Amino acid sequence: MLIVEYIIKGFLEALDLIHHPYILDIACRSLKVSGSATILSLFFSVPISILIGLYEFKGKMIIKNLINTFAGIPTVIWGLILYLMYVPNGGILGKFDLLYNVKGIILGQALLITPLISSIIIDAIEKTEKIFRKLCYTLGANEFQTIKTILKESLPWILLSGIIGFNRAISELGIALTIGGNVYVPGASDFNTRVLTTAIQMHTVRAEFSTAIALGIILLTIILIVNFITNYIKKSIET
Amino acid sequence: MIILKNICKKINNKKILDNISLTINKGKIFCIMGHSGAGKTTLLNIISLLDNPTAGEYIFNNQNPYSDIVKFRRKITMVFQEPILFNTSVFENVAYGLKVRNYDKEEIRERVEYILEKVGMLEYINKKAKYLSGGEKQRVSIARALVIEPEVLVLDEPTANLDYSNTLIIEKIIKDFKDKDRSIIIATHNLFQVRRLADEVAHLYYGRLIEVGKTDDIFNNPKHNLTKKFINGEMFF
Repeated sequence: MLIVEYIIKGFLEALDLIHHPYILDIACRSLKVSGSATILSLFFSVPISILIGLYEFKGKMIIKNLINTFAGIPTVIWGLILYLMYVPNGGILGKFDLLYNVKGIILGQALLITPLISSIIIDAIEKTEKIFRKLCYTLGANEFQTIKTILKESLPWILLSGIIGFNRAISELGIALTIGGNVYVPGASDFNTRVLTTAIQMHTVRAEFSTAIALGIILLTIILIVNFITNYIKKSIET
Repeated sequence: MIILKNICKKINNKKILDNISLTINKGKIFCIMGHSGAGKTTLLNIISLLDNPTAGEYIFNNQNPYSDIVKFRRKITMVFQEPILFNTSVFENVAYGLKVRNYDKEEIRERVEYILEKVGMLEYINKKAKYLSGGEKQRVSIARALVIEPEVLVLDEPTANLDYSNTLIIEKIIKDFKDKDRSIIIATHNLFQVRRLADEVAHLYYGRLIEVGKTDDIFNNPKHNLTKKFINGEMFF
C-alpha cells in the first residue's frame, strides 16, 4: 500500500474513531494536565513577573536573560532533569511520588512554561509601565493607584501569556513521556498518564495510523482554537 | 507661581538643561519655544514633577514641591505630545483623574459630561478611546487634564500632529481655560501658535534660556540674535 493511501485510509477511519471513549479519555486528560499546569505556572509566575517588570534593581538584566534561556531548553532536557529530581531513591522530590504520575507531569509542564509566561508578562509590564506611569502621575495617581492602572492595562497580555503557555504545555512530548511513562490501563484512570502527544507517538511507532491521526486531529483542533483566541486577543490589544 | 532657579539636567553626562531660571505667573499663557531637541519636553517634565533636575531649585507657590510630591503633582497636569489614552471608554479616560481623587460618582459624571461638551466630544462619551482619530484623542486627553481643574496646565506640543481645524479647536479650548488663578505653559516650535496664544514667551536653545519676555516684545523687538534668527526662520539645523 502506498503511503498516501495509508494516510487517506487512516484519516477516514480516524473520523469514526474521534468519538471513541479511549480517544476522548486521553483528550480529556491532556486538557486537564496542561490546564492545571498553566494555572499552577500562572500562580507563581504572575507575581514574580510583575515585580521584575515594575521595578529596576541590580541584576535585573541577568534574571531576564536567565528566564529567556530557560524558555529555550528542549523538553527532553526538562524531562531528564525532572526524572533525576523525581526518582524515588535520591531525587530531591523523590518522596512525593511524582514519577509516572499526572501530578509529576503537571509540575513538569508548569516549570517548562513558567519562563515563557514570565518573559511575556515582564515585557508587557515594562512596555505598559513606560507608557502609563508618567500619565498616571500627572493625573494625580499615587504609587498604588499607578501600579493598579499599569496592571489593568497589562491584563490582556497576562491572559495571552497563559494561553500561549497552555499551547506549549499541551503540545510538548519530552516531559509527558519521560515523567508520565505513557501508562494506560483501561478502567484505572487514577494511574493513567497517557496524554495526546505520548499516545500519538506510541500509535505512530506501532503503525496504528488511524488512531494516531484521530488523536492528531483532536490535538491540532485544540491548538487551532487556542491560536484563534490568541490572535483575537493580540488584535484587540494592538488596535 | 512657579519659580525655577538655576535648573540643570544631565542625562548620561550630556547637558540637556543648563542653568534655567524662570518665573511663571498665574493668569498667563506662557510659551516655551525652541527647535526640536532644545530641551522643551525635559523642562516641562521637571515643571510637572515627572522628572527631577540634576541641580537647581524649584519653588511652587513659595513651597518646595518635592516635600509632598503627590500633593503637588495634583496641582499640575501635563498633556503629552502624543495623546496617551487608557484602553477603555472616553468616559473612563476623562474620569480617571477624578477617580484617583475620590470624587463621588455623581460629581464625576457631571464634570465629565460638562468638559466633554466643552471640547465637543460628548457624543463619544461611551466610545472606546482607541477608535478615535488623532485630533479626537488629543481633545480627550486635554479634557482629561481640564476636568481636574489644575492650577497649572502644561501642554507639550499639543497640536504638533494635528490638522489646522483641530489645531484651532484645541487653541480655543486652551484660551477658554485661561483664568486669573491658573497658569498655562505650552511648549511649541510653532511660532504662529505662540503669537496666537502666548502672553509671555521663553526661547530655549540647546538647553539654555536665551530670552524671556512679553510676546509682543519678543516678536517685535528681540534682544538676542539667536531669538531674532529663530523668529525669522533663519536658524537651520
